[in-house]
Amino acid sequence: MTRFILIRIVQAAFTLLALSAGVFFAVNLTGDVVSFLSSPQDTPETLALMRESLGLDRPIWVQYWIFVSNAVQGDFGQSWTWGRPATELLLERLPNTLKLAATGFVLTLIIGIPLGILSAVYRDSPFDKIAKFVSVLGMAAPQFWVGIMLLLFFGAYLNWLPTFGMGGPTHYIMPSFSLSLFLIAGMVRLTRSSMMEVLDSEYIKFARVKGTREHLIIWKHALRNAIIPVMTFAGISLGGLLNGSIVVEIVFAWPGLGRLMLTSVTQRDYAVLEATVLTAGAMYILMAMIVDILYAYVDPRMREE
Amino acid sequence: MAAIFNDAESETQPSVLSLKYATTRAKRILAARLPWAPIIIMAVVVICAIFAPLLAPHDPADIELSVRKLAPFDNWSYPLGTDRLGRDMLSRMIYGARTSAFISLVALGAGAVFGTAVGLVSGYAGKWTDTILMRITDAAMGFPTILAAMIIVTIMGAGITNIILAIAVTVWARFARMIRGEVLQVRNRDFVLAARITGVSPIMIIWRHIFPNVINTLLIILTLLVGQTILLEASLSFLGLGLAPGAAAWGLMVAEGRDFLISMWWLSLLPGLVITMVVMAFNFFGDWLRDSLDPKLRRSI
Repeated sequence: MTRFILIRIVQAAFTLLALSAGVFFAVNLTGDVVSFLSSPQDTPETLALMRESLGLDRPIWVQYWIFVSNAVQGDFGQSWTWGRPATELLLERLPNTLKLAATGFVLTLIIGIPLGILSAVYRDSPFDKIAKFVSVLGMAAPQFWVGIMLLLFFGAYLNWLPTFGMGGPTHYIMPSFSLSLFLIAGMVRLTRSSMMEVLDSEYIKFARVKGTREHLIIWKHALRNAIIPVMTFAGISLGGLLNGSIVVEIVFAWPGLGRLMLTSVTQRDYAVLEATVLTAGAMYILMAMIVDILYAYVDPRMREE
Repeated sequence: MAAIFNDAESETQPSVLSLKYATTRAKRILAARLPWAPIIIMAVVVICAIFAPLLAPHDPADIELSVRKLAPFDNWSYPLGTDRLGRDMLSRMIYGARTSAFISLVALGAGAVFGTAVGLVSGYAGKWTDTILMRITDAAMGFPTILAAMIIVTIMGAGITNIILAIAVTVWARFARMIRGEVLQVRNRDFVLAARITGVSPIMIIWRHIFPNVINTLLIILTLLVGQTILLEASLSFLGLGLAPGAAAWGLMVAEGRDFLISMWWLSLLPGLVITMVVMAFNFFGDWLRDSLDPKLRRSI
């Protein structure tokens, strides 16, 4: 097990290094930074001086090395559009995204799992039909549109909820719901099918024959076995939250990482772009690693490779 | 030797293109009840995409200030209303079907070809090749697509090609994973071993003996992923990554309507509704196809 964990950590480190190289070379080999900073009146001498002051006259490998060693120390350079260190901006925005994602994740668990269980237990009841409709709708409706429709109805029309930015707890309701609807839908669907499969199994039939009370069968015998694929899905869905939060942050003007990332793309703010993309990538790689390790812990067959 | 040979012949699947193969497949599909509602919606999308110029009552980019801000059903020459520049919503949505279908199909097609190739090679070769290819696949599978799209658009600039690339770059991994799983089940069957003993080259074995056995799975994944690809394309165009402002794309239309949510609710509502319905149709159809062709797959997809 220790060996497995070590291998996964080394793999994660290499993946991150590959990502950093990809992002760095892609950004630096394709766009001429100086052309964005200079004005047409600048003489060639000024441009050369600019290049030198930015360290752009050095070989690209040296630049990459400097970039990595600075990044490891938490320094991604200055943001041109904000005039502040990119790391500072990153640290300001990152917690907001994490808060939003965490709320969305909790919603997914506390709505999705019970809905899926009840839907499997009361198969073909009106409740099951409603749960099915929710899951079909949630899988098909684009997140940004769900957000905008919520804004239209609860924000503009009913005027019940705040429509943009961060603030009190009410600010979280619409963004976290539009972020998690897709995952809730997947969770309901998966929990339902997993639970149904278990409920049809021999040992549940045996428990019934034995005369075990129904609520014990459902909550103790069946749920424990049905929960394994559900937990896997929960792990994978964390990556989906990251993807979705970019869109949702735009819709609700949420001051998070995703919005910072998008503005840095449109403004070609390389320092911020590199900082945000690498952070998001690192978060994803870290989560995938943790899920892998947890999975191996639960299921020893996964350790062999 | 002859016995092995005969065995191999009899167990080899008929060619994919043969009539017998096609008819048995068609019979199996028709045996289940057809989901008509999704099929009709899908057909409408395809027809709109192909015949957009013939079907659209107006030019989608035509600015007509005299009829701007018309609500749906107010003026029958603009049944679904107009936007702030007087562009016809219905025409824009018909052309949007074209954008969406084109991007999704090309991206999915490219992803399918590449992913299937990786899956076939990985599953058949096994050992080191398999380990390395599957590590890469795992990394690509979970990597957030929007993040990938942002990187690609930053590097290569906007444009339809780059949206397609961004989708294909992450979608191929799903094909690779599933196809590999299927290959593992086939690779040690007698007809493959027989072919190997008789000296058939690995490429021919994969093409003639293994590939025909994974076509079912391929078809199913392909249909199941159409919906998700359309959603992705819509999200990317909503964020303005890749398409020029003013282009007729569903996601972009929702984004443009966002600024006029209160005065012109239909601008965002209608294209979003269309996306939802179309994705729903493809999801339903994919589920149905999977259940009728290969119920075993239910758990794994």
